Formats: sequence, C-alpha cells, structure tokens
Amino acid sequence: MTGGQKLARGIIILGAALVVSFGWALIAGHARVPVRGLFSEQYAGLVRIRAARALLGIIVGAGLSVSGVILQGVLRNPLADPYVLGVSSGAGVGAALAMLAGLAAMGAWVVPGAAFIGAVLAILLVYLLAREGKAVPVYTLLLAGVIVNSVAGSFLIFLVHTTIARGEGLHSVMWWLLGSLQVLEPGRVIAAGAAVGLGVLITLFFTRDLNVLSIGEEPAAHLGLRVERTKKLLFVVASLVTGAAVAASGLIGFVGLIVPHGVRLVVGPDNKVLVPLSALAGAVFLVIADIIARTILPAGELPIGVITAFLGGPFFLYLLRRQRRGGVQ
Amino acid sequence: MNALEIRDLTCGYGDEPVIRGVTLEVSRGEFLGILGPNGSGKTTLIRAVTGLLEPMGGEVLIEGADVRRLQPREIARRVACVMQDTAIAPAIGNLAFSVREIVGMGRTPYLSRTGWATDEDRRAVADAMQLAEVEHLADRAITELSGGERQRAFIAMALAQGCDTVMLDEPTNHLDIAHQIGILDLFARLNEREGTTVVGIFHDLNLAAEYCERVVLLKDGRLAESGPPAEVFTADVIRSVYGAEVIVGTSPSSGRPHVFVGRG
Repeated sequence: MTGGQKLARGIIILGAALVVSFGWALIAGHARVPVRGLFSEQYAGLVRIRAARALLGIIVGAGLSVSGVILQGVLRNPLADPYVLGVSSGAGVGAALAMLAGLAAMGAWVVPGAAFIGAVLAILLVYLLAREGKAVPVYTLLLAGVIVNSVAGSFLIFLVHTTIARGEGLHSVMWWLLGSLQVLEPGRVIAAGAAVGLGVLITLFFTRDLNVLSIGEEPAAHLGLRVERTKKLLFVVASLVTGAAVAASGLIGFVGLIVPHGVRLVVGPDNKVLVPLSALAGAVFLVIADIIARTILPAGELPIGVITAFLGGPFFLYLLRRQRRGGVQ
Repeated sequence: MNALEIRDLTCGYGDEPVIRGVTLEVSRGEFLGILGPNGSGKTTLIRAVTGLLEPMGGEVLIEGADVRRLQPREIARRVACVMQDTAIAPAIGNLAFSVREIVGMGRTPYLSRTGWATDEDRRAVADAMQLAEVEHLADRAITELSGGERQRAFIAMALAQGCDTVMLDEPTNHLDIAHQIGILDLFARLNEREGTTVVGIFHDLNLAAEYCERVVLLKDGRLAESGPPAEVFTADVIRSVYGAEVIVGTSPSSGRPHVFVGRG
C-alpha cells in the first residue's frame, strides 16, 4: 500500500471513529441522554456541555499527539513526549504565573500565550541540558526531562497553593497535575482550537523534513534541509500546541507517547502519514478517555490524567524495554 | 566548466579557521582523493563545498555557481555526500524506515513540501538501488542491516539525488576489506560509465593510490601537494605531511604506488 492509500484509509477509519466517539460522548454520563433526546430542548443544556467537552478533548488530544510526533522526530528519540520531557509542566508554570499576576482577564490569549513561553523555555532547557556535542543521547534526554519535569512541577504546585491561599485559585492542584476536559473558560477552548489547528497545519508542511531528520542532522543538511531553522520552527510549534493544550486542560500525560506509537504500529514511521493520523487518533483517544473518566466511578468523575497515565506508564516501560533491546543508539 | 572550483578558501568553526587559503579545481569526471593527517581539514572542506559552512574568505563554485548564491536544495541537486557512518535515529522495534524509504529520501531536493513521490522519483530510486546493489534489501528495516549493507543503502540514497558530483567522507571506514573494495569499485564504475565526478576523503593511502587519478594532501588546513598518486606518494612527501617513515613501492598488478609501513 502506498503512503497516499494508507493515509486515505486511515482518515476514513479514524474519521468514522471520531464521529462515533463524539456521539457516544454526548450520550454517556451519569445522566444518560437518550439518542432521541440529543436534539430536544429537554437535554439541550447537558448536550451542549458535553459537546464542548468532547470538542476540547479533540483539540487537546490532537495537539498533544502531534507535539509528541514532533519531539520524537526533532530530538531523534522515540521516547520523547511533551509530558515526559517536562514541556507540559513548563507550560503549566507559565499559565499559572499569568493567572497569579492577574493577567487572565486581559484576554483569552494571555494564559495560553504564557503557557507557550513556559513550554519554549522548558524545551530549550531540556535540550541544552541533554546535548552532548552535536548529539542528544536517548537516556540523557529522558533524565534531563525528568529533572525539568519535577522542578517545574514542584514550582507549579507552589504557585497553585499560593493562588489558593489568596482565595483566587482558578483551578485545584488536582486539575493542574492530572488535567480535566471540563470547560471552564470557553475563550480558552477557542484559543486552544486555533493554536492546535495552526500548529497541526504547519506540521503537515514539515513531515518530509521530520522523515529526513531521522538519518541525522548533517546528512539531512546534505539533502538540502535547513536543519537549524527547521528545528527551531518545529520546537516553537510543539510549544505552541502544548501550551494551548495545558492552558485549557491542565497536565494530561503520555498522550504524545501512546498515540503516535500506536499509529506507527499500524502505518509505519513515515511522518507524511503519521502526523495527520496521529492528530485524528489523538482526538479519538482523548474523547474516549474522557468518557471513561466521567463514567467509571459510581458517582463523580476521575481526573482524565489518571486514565492516560494508567495506560501510558506501562506503555512507556514497554517501549523502553524494546528500545533497549533494539540497541541502535 | 569545472565541477568544483575552490578559490583561496578560508573557513572553520567560530573564529578559528580550519581551512586556510585552499585553492583547488576539480574537473568534470575526475576521481580525486583528498588525504591528510587527522585534523587537517578534510571534512571541513566537504562542509564548505556543500554549503554547510559559510566561507570566512574566498569562494566555492559548483559548476560555475557560487555556493553562497545557491539554495540548499539547489546544492543538493548538484552535489551528493556519503558520510563515513550515518547514525540513524533509534527506532522502537522494527518501526524504522525501510531501505527503499531511506533511498527515497535522496529525492528530497526535488520534492515539494506536500507532494508525493512521482514515477520519475520511483524510477530514480529503483535505479540507485540497482547500482548500489541493495535491491534485495529494499523492504528490510535500515536498522536491521550490517554495517556494509547499511552503507550501501546510504550510497543508494546519495545516488538517488541524481548529482553529477559525489563527495565521499571516508565511506569505507569501519568496513571489512571486501566491502571497501566493493564500494570503491562501485564509484569507479560510476565515474567511468556515467562520468560522475568523485571527490573522496581517504584515510588509507593505498586505496587512494589504487582508485584516484589525482590526490591532494592537506596539512594544517593548507594544500600541501597535488598530483597523480605516482608523483605525490613519495617517502619524502609522506614524511613531511604525516611525519611518518614509509617505504613506497609499486603494486605488482596496477603499477600504482604502494605504501609500506617502516617500523620505527
């Protein structure tokens, strides 16, 4: 099957899955909406809330997945992911600082913008810490990510406690650390949608570059790629998308790891196919994860990050073992 | 017109020049060897020719065009490179690119951002795989191959670029003697049949003597010697460039010079 055929088939299958899971998200919940009630006055409020929530799931799922694909490609590390590398925590610190400074009222773009800056700084920090000469060794990068993640994460908790102590905390610690697709600020969903849409669109123009980077930066340059410029641009795109996702939904982990590798297992490593299908699969994945989070307990809901970490943690270990056995450094 | 013209080139990293005022012309269809001690600037010279390093002084012309005026893609359509050891990004399990996909990357300078490969691209890839003798590996993952097979796959990638000039940076380093000869024979054939200009960095003086029409020796970033191997490879020249004592004899089969190690 050629790349074009794989892509077409994937879009049809995942597109259908997205429609079905979106419909399921409207119906499922502690208060069940009957299929016939979807368009009736009686359930309109509930359906609207669930639709907004599923929409945010689509945006965040697509964004985090594509961000994972970018980081894996540019850092040449199959275990890279915005959450594992501390990029999401960095974005969280940026967002919390903006909220703490009272800047949130200035517009829906301010908090995602601050999250974007936090994400850029975290990527730079991890990259510079992990780089040895021209190479970024797989395990050094993960260690640098763990450190940045835990420092940024602690700082984030400090900031959140400060806001709560001042009685103006917008979100709980739980919201920040395990994420939620509950829509509190509609403006932020729109901002996230615009940022993720733009980021995915730009990435679609750089899929060939991501492929070529896998053979190394100097060989890629010999094929006519402007390596430094491309890396910077893709780091910015990954930060933009991660920042917007974190500002709207907190820290939802491992999506950027589970989804791209799941898609790779089926379609292979070609980024021309992988990027668009990961965006779609990420959307489906997070909508379904949220349905599970909302319905798995007899009452109330589980933070969605619990579901993704439950799936993502073991998956990460599995990849780590296979990576070590693969042995190609 | 010459394939390459390097005029009074100075370049390096940061403020430190590695190449200092090198002038070198490579005519079309030549098989040229570049040799010199470690750190003499051989790889830096390749980077300057392919536009990866900006000259601090002087200029580099590819087929008459100044490298600084060419887009990276335009350079990649004129000059292809084979590196000594291409480190592929680690992949999980068998999820690495196949040899066919890697060779297909050689078409990058001809492809638009969003377009798919055309029949012409597929033909170029098939021809390159045939030339480099990797057709039987086409569907294998690049990470599964042995060192020699992998190097041939990257040679096929460079050939798929369809360039009139190929630069080699010690392409047979780390390979056993059979692969070394096989790969250099391949470039010799390409040079004879297609008229491809081949500029290769060599570590092994005897391989260079056997395959190159002309060799240049670099020392401390300057051009020390240039000429046919028979003229350049003398005990005196090797002593002054490498600081090593050798005895130079003649190959019984080709009549080319052969360097013997003289133990201190």
